[in-house]
Amino acid sequence: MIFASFEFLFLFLPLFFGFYFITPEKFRNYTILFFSWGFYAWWRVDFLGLLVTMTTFTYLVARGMEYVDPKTIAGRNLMRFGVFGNLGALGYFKYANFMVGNYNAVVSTFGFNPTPWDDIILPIGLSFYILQSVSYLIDIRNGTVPVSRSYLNYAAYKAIFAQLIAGPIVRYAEIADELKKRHHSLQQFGTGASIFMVGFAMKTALADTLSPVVDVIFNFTDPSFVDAWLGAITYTLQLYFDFAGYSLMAIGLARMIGFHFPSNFNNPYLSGSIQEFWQRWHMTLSRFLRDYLYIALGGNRQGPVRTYINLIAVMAIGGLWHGSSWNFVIWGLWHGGSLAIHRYWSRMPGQKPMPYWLGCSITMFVAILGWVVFRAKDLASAFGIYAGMFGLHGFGGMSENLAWQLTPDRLWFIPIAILFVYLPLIRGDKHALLPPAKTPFAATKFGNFCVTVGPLLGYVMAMILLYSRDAVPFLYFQF
Amino acid sequence: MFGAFDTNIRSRDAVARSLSRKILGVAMGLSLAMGLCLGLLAITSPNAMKHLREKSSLGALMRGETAKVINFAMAHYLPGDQLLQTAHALVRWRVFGVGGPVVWVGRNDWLYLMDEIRPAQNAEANMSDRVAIIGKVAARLAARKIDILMVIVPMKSEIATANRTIPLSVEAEHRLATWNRLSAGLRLKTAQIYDVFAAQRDPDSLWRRADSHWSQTGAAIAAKAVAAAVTTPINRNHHFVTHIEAAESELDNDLIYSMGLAQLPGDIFIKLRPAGDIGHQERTVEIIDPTAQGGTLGDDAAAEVALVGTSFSLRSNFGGRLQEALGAPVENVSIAGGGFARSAERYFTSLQFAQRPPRLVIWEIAERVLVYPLGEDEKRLAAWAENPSSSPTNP
Repeated sequence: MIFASFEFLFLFLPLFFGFYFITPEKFRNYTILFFSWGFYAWWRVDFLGLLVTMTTFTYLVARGMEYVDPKTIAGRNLMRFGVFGNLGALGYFKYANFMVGNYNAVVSTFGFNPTPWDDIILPIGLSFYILQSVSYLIDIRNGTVPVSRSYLNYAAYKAIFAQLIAGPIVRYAEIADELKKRHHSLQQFGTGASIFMVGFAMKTALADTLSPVVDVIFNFTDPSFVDAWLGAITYTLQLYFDFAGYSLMAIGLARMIGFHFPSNFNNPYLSGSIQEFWQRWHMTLSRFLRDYLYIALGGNRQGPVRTYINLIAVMAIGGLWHGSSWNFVIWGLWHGGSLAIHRYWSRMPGQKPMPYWLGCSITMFVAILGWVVFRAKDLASAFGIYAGMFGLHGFGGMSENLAWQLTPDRLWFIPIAILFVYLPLIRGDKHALLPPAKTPFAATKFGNFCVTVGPLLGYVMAMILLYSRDAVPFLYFQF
Repeated sequence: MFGAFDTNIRSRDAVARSLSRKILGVAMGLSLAMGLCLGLLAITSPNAMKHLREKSSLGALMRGETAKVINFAMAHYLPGDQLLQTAHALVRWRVFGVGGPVVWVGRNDWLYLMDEIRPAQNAEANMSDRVAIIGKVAARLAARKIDILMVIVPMKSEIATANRTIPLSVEAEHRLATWNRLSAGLRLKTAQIYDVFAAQRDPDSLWRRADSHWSQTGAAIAAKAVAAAVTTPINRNHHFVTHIEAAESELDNDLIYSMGLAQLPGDIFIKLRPAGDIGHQERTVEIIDPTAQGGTLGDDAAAEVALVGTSFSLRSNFGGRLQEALGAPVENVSIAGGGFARSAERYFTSLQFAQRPPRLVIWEIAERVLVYPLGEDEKRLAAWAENPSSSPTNP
C-alpha cells in the first residue's frame, strides 16, 4: 500500500485514525501495531512474518544485552550477534541475487556451468527497518538509549506505518519517550495534516507528473544532447520531490498521532558544496552512515589518507545499500570521490571559500551526473545518457519521440519544480540573498493565510490528479 | 521552503497560527471522513462485492488476492470518479491548453488525434501484416467472383492542416506512402481519397473541428471519388436524394469526449470546453418508382454492393452519399470503432454473406489504424481467409 493511493487515503487512514482516537490512551500503541502490521501485510502477508521475526529477534537480543550489561564483553558479543543477524537477513534478501549473478558471470567466463538460482524477492522496507535495528543495538551498547522492556512499544516503533517502508530512519531514542506518552490536540493534528498535504502535493502533483518524461528518456539508447540533459535534470527534480514528498508525508502522519520524526531533507539542491549536500539530502541516512560506519572505521582520526579511504568506502557502502547493482556502487564511489576531492581542496593551504554560485553549480553538476547512473536500469543505459550529455551523439535538439511526451501540462511542471527548489534562495535558507525577515513570513497575515490555504489547495489539486491516473510507486520503495 | 512546515514556526501571532492549524486539522478530518464514505461505497459496489466474494477465503487473503481486489475497486469504482476526471481534464485544458494523452489541440479549437501525429511503434511491420491479410481476403473473395475496392481514409492531420500547430512525425508523414508501397504488390483497386482531398481548395472544410471524422462535405466528396472508382458491373439505375435539415444541431464531437470534457454539466461549463461542431444534419433516401415491381414476397434483390468499414462509413452520411453517387443501394455493415477488420470479420463470417454475397465489397479503412498492432479481430479474419472451408459463425 502506498500513501498516494485511494486504498490508503480513503480506507486505511480514516479507519486507522478512527480507531486510534477512540482507543484509550494506554492501548493506542496496540492500534498502531495492529494497523501497521496490516499496512505491511497488504503487500505480502508472508513477509510480515519476516518483520515480526526480525523485530522479536532484535528485541530479545536487546533484552539479553540488558541482562548481561551492555558494557561487558558478553554485551558486546550479543550486540555483534544481533547486528550480524540483522545484516545477515539484509544480505540474504537484498544481495544474494547480486552475488550469485556476479559469481555466475565470472564462472561462465571461464567456461564453467553457472549455479542454478531462483531470484529472491526483496521484502519492501527491509533496508530501512534493518538499519533501525542496527542503530538500536549499537546505541544500547554505547549507552545512549535505554533498552525497551515493552515488546509492544518496541514493535510499534519498528512498525509505525508512517516510516516502515521508506523512512525517515528514526532512531529509537528519538521517540522512546513518545512511545510511552505523547500529546494529542487538534492543533497538532492540523500541523501534521499540513505537512502531509504538502508532501502529498509534492509527490503526486510534481514528481509523478515528471515521471513519464523521465521514463521515456531513460529508455533511449542514444539520446541527443537535449534529451540527455532534460532527462537528467527532470529526474533530479523527480527524485527530490518524490522522496522529500514521501518523507514529509511520513513526518506529517507521525505528527498527527503525536510523534516528532526527524527531518529528512533541507533544501539539498541549494547546497554550496557536496559536503553540505550530504548534510541536507536524506539526512537520516547520512547521519546513520556517519555515526555507525564512518566513525566506526576511524573517521578522520587516522590521518588524511585513511580519511579519504573512509569517505569513499562509506559512500560506496551507502550506494550499495540503495540497491544490489553496480550502478549504485558507482554512484556511491562517485559521491565518495567527490567528498574526498572537496575535502582535499578545502584544506589546501591558503584556500579561499568558493563563491556560493560557483559552489552550488558544481554541486548540482556532480549531483546530476550521479543521479544518471542511479536511475539508469543498467550501466550501458547510463553510459548512453552520459554520451548524450557530453555530445557524443551530437549536439542535436530534442528527439521526436520525446516531443510527444512534453505536452505543456508536463512541461510546465519542470519550471514550477525548479521554482520550488530555488524559492528559498530569496529568503529562508542559509544561502538566501535576503536576510531573515524581522517578522517571519508565516507570522504575517498573508503568510498565515498562505500556509493555511496553500497545503489545502495543493492537496485538492493532487487528489484530482490522482483520480485521473494510475498511482506511481515511491521511487525509494525499491531500495 | 518546505522546511517551514516541518519545524516549529516561530510566530508572533500564536493565536492565528493555532487557528490555521486547527482549520487544517478539521479540513483533514472532514477529508478523511468523506474519503471513508467514498471508499466504503466503492468496495460495497455490486462489481466489487462480486469479486470480493470470490476472493474472501483465508488463502486468498494470505496470497494478497483480497487486497488486490480492494485496490482495484478503489481505483475503478469510486463514486465521483467521472466528476473528478472531468475536473482534471478541464484544468488541463483551460490552464495548459492541453487535450490530454489522446488529443492535440491546434489553433481555433481545432482538435487532432495524437495517433495521427506521433510516431507509431513498429509501424511498417504492422502494415505489412495487414497487407498480407488483405491479400488473403482478396484472393478468397476473387474465388467467389466478388470484387474488392479499397478505400483508405486519410488522416485529418494531413489534410486539415491550417490550424495544426505541430508538425507530423516522420513516420506519420510517410504513413500513407509506406502503405501504398507495401500494398502495391497486391494490385488491388483503390479509391485514392487523399489525392482528391489534397486537390480541394479548402481542405479544412472536409473535416470537423472537434471530431476525428470527415465533415458532410468531405464525406460527399469521398463518396463521389469512391463511386468513380467502381468498375464492377452493377445495376446503377436507382435514384437517391439527400435531404438537409433546415435547423442546425450539434454534431458529433468525439475529440471533446476524448479530452474528457463530454460530461461537463450545464451551459456555463459547456462554454469552458472547446467549441464543438454545429451544422445541418443530412440523410439520403431512395426515390422509389411506384411502377417498379418488387419481389413477389417482398424479397427485394440483395444489394450488390457491401460497404465494410469504420465509423467513417457511418458518420456524416457517407453511406447515403455513396448510394447517391453510385446510383445503387449499398449494404452498410460498418462498425464504429471497429478499426481495421472488425466489420470485415463479422460480415465475411456471417450467414448473410454466405447466402447473399455481393458483387462488390468496398472496404473502407482509416489510415491511422493501419499502424496499430494486430488485434484479435484481424487474426480471426486472417484465419477465415486462410481456411476456405470455414463456415459462417455470425448469423
